[in-house]
Amino acid sequence: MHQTHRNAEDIQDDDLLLRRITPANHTALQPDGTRILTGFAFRERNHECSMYVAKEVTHEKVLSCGFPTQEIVEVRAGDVRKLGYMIVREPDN
Amino acid sequence: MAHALRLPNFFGRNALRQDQEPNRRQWYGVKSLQSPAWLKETYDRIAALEALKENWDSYGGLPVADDAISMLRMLLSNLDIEDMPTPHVAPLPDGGIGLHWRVGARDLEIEVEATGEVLSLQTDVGGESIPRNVHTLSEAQKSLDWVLGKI
Repeated sequence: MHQTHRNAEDIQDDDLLLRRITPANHTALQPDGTRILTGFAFRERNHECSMYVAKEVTHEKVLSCGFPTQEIVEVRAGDVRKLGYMIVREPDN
Repeated sequence: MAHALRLPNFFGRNALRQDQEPNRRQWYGVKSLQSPAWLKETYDRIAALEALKENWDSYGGLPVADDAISMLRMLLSNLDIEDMPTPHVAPLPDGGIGLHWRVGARDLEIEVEATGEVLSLQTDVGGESIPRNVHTLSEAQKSLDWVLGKI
């Protein structure tokens, strides 16, 4: 739970944010054989969505906190903000 | 050693009652003995989701709730969906289940929450999203007809 909801201004719109996904659950196979990412990949129980700032962490570190079947997707911070979401820093525990 | 075949007693005190809550019924209507292949695939996928344990997504996701499974099966058993493409079936972190279809430029997500509540989200690719609460089968049917381009 965040103690304060303060916009993380040090995270620039061009910064990339990383999130682990489980391809079997979060990507949908299309008739042409391609897979698309579904919105279900960005859901969490508390209506927030945990991500890592790409420039502050390695892919290996992000994956090490998950399961072997998981992969990483990248999202631009500016795109997240355009959707109306606030990006908030949470100390890494 | 031979065992007597036990048949369920439909007329005793365990008989199903008409006034049971819809999402707690054990039996649902069957439209046809020849269900489309995609529907069987979808039921198999839903059954597989029952095995998920807490933290299945590595972000603390809950196991899929029984009420969500019951409601989704009830929906699929009662909608006119013979000619649907196979949906993507996904667990939701709060214990619900989501279905996703993309047909041409239209995306439809139907979410059954852990409580059995049903929501839909219609999105034209590159366009507006329309979220809706789904209270009746006809509202769910309308969403499916929309993604198929029937309306």
